[in-house]
Amino acid sequence: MSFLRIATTVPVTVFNFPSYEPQRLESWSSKHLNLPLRRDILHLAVVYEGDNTRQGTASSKTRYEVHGSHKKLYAQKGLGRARVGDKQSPLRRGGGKTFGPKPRDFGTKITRKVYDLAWRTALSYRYRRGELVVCQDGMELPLPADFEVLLQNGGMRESGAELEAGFRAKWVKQVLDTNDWGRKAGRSTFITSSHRENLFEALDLVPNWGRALDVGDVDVKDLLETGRIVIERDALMHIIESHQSDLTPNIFVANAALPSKAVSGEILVE
Amino acid sequence: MSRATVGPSSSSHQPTTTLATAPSSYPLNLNRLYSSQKIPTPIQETALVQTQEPETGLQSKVHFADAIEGGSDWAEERVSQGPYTAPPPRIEAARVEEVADPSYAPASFSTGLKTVGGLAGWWSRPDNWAAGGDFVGFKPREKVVESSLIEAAVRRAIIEAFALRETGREDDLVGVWPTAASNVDLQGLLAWDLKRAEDGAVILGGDAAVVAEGLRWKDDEEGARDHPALSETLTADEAAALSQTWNPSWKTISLADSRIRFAVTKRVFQLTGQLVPDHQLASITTVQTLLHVLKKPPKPATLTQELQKRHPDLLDLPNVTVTPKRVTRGDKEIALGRFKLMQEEFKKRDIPAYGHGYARKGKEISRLRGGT
Repeated sequence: MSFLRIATTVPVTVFNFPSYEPQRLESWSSKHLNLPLRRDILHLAVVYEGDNTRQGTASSKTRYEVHGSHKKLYAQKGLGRARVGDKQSPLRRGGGKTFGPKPRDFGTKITRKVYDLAWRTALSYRYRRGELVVCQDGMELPLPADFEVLLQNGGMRESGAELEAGFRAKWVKQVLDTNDWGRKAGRSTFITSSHRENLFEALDLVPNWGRALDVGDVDVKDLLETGRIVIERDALMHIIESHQSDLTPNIFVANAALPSKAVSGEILVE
Repeated sequence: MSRATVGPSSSSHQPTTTLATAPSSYPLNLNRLYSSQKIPTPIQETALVQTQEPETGLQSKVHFADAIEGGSDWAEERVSQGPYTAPPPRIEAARVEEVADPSYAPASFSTGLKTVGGLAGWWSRPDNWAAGGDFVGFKPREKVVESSLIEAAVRRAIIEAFALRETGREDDLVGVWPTAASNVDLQGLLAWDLKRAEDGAVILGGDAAVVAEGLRWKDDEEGARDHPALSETLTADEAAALSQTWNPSWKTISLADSRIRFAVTKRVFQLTGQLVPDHQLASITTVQTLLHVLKKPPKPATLTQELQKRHPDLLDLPNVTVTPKRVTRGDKEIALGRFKLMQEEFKKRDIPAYGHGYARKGKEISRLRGGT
């Protein structure tokens, strides 16, 4: 009798950037990159993030904060007019707002383990759809050597930054289109473990082709947006290691031989 | 701006008076041509001025006129580096007070002046960005979708991978292999009697050493990664005809070895642009399963595409209309023939036929960029 056996690891190809050459095959834990899709948990995480990103600075003045005298406008009786109070009454034009917004914190809470599960669920969803492209460490967009020489020779000194930016924009568009990562392929999110000048600047010039994010700026929502995630291996490892509180037990495991957590990143082929 | 900026192409149309005060001692191949000595010049140039005798304005005028007429092409001063060409240095016209000719009056209207043009779209002109400067990645530009060509690429990859293993070059299995191959060579390679033995071993049916040698980078090929597409080397019909001659047992060749599987999928990606998604890698155990994954047609992007490709019979139904986009109010008016009447009425009232006319999209964006 045979039972259905779920693989405990999944293969991950590590590509070169930007040539998109497969360079290595690694095995990552299924608990990291092959979790079942849980839309409810993703929803909780996205709502939590949305709540905590709200600025909450909307503010209006009540009748007690609106500038002016609080004298009664005219006598209560005897004038044949409707009775009124002061000028700041919410009923009057220019008066205060009755239940207006005041600065407040819209932030909500989420269970840490649920949030961590959401991170890995989002990555797993991308992985199973073939939309997670893992790249070698040190991901940076190289500019053609000839262009660098042209810059150093001062060939474009007088033409200003516009010409240089035009070159970078065309170059990054070409790179993305050649790899099917560009506008026609639904944009891409590039995640690196630190700020990469060439890549980030070039992508800022062509927002319709993709966006680049430092791993510290990434949210679960970012992982669910755009056509694919092109992520540096280091950054992926960082995301997973910092979001596995539901996998690592808080109790002391006496037997040191037992695996205390899911292991990812073992090299299969290199 | 009080100073007119003149591009290189219009320099020959420049009134000669503006050049009259230009320092005659300037070498003509200077990066930057100043029309006035008042503008600070680099140290070397000032040194040159001091060492030479002062000339009259007339003489310098002659010098410049000669230079321009003497075939000094301004376009030649563009800085080229490899496939990329930067624009020539900017030339600035003299201020009014610096022009010696008392009869010279600057134009106050742009009409009649030559338009030089700016740098917008500079890099999209083929002269400035040659095709050799384009980015070349690992995969081919065009994805191969014909199933016969995909099959041929897989067969080629299998032969090459197992040939490398036979010759003991394990390290090269995961490397990048050259793709250049002539039609004859390729047909010969594909015609090998590749089959699987009873014990599961792979019988290549040819000389593995020759193939393995062809997978070495020659010096002249180094860096020449812009390979011809597979479809240029081999046509789909040729590949289909070849596949009839193949021993069917080649599809049962095992790809369970992860190193071989990596090499084969990588090579197929390089040749066809078809990438096996990571989550499907584990299920690929034989050539048959690999072909099944690769040949699966991509999901149609839109419902219209799906209907046109997979259910063309639905399009012929008399009571069904298929439109690529949502049917809007305007479409209904057009179908009824009412839109023509409406257009006439619009015209009478000076109202645009489409849209709002007075407001355009992205107005703020163009304003932010300095437009109107």
